[in-house]
Amino acid sequence: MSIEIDDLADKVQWEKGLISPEIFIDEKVYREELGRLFGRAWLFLAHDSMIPKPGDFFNTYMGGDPVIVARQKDGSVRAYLNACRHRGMKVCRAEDGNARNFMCTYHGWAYDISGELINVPNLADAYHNDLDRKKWGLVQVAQIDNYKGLWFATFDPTAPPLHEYLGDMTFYIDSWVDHVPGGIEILPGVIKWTIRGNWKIAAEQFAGDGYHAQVTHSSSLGKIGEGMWGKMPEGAQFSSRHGHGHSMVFGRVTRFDDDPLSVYNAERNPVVEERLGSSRTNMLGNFTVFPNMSGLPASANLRVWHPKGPNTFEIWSFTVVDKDAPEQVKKAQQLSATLTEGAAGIVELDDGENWNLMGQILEQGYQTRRMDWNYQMGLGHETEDHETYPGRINGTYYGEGPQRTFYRRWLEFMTSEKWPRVDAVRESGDES
Amino acid sequence: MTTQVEAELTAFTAATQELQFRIEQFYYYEAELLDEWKYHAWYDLFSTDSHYRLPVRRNRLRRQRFADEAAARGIEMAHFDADMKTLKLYVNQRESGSNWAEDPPSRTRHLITNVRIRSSADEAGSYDVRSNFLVYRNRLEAEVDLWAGERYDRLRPTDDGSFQIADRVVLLDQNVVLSKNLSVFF
Repeated sequence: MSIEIDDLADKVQWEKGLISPEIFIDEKVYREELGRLFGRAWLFLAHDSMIPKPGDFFNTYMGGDPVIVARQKDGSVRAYLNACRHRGMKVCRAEDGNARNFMCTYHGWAYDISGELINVPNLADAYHNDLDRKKWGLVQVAQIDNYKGLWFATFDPTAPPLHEYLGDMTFYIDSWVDHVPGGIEILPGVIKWTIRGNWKIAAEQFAGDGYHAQVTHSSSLGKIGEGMWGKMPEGAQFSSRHGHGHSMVFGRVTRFDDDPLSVYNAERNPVVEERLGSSRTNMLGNFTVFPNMSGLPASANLRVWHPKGPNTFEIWSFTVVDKDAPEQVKKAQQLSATLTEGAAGIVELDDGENWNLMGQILEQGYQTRRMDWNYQMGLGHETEDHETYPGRINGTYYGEGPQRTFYRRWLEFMTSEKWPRVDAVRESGDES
Repeated sequence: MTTQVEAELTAFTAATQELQFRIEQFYYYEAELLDEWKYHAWYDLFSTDSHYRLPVRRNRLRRQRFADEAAARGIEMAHFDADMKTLKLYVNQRESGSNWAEDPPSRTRHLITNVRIRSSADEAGSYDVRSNFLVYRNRLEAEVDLWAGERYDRLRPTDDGSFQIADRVVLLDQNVVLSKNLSVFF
């Protein structure tokens, strides 16, 4: 059984809140996704603070492809495929570090930090000097840009500029990158682990699924504060026509109220309010920047869902702190994030249980693949003209509008031959 | 002239052999508690001033790697970084009745080997003990995980002839954790 691209609209009936789980397991859908989606969308690479000095690099992935992000001598940032032009071997196998050049350990072709080919062994006697090194640099991304220190890239030269791609999402991103004058930095140490499931399950959860927390995380979040069962926290949801989603909870500063972090956050609030207004002060929750960057402002967490096959993905999880915060506050943030997030985190380990089993069922099943999943929560209860928040807004923390929007956008990427530009006329969406 | 190995062998006296035996027995008891899901009893093996840390293993070039991977490197994310107040939160979660990742509980086997004991230079009367582990997890119908690694412990003798774990650093031999979670203790 294999899905044709022409059939995808039947599998993704976002406007009715019906999604076929075949899009989470089908091999052909996955192969197409690597090109049509990950080959065209703007993807998050790294934050400025992870590669501060010339020669600093961070090894990551864009979809299925290994990519090196490197700080240049002039302070700019470049990103290119971590694959030698000769036989496609990785030219750098360290996950991060500082380098003057990268030498492929197969035949010795060497590239400088900009990706240019600078040395080919036996160029004169074996190649007869017939190789034009200028033409054989590492494959650069088509476009690279940053939003307030967050670096993104796309392999599609026809993709619109990053700021247009992010759209209204920047209003929400600002609440965790530009809330204080000094901005943010990423703490050392990326927590990476593996889920046998489809990456979209995680991306959609972070876009809009606050609903799962009271049950999935009953043994962790449910034990913090006054408990959550049955009580929907005060909040709202944002859906972007560009596929992004943000779910907001108001009024809970920090998960724990007895450490230097919560004292710092409380003292910081007036500064944030001054910069962003009260609507984005203490705004916590969860978000997804389409397609595979997500985060949890309450836990100062940022992550990427790296696809590794239709039924496997890796979570790369980063911790964010205010750059100018005192050391003891950064330490408290590190300890707090270590406790709750990551492979061993008391919150996160219960997500792994769900996502793995869902993947296992789809891998083995036939009837279970034919069963549409229900994405109908809050259908028809969103507004386009909220007085405070831009985008399409659901007035409660629980809802599946962001998920429906995510799959609507996903479908557009998967079925469009050209880069699927969001028509300005349809900017506000037409979900009914 | 005796070689280094011979010198170390001759240093094994009846007393050091007995110490080796007692520490290994302590580890086997600890493994039993974990494999039988007696988390609170396991927690009680730690001293109140203890710390439990499981750092991230990094892939770095040889010249840029960390000489001592068990050493703390300032503020850095880790899989576990817990004082005893925090470790209690993990233990309480396992026994909460709604920690779905371990309910039904996984079947685990903690195999402890290569126990190497040195008198602690930092804490008189205590021992700095390194041991290797292999932890097998079998979960629900057919899920299997295997973790290998090393533990750096500070063991503090107790009045009743046993030990307390006064510090533990776990080096898990994985960069990308290959399992869906780390809902086990090492």
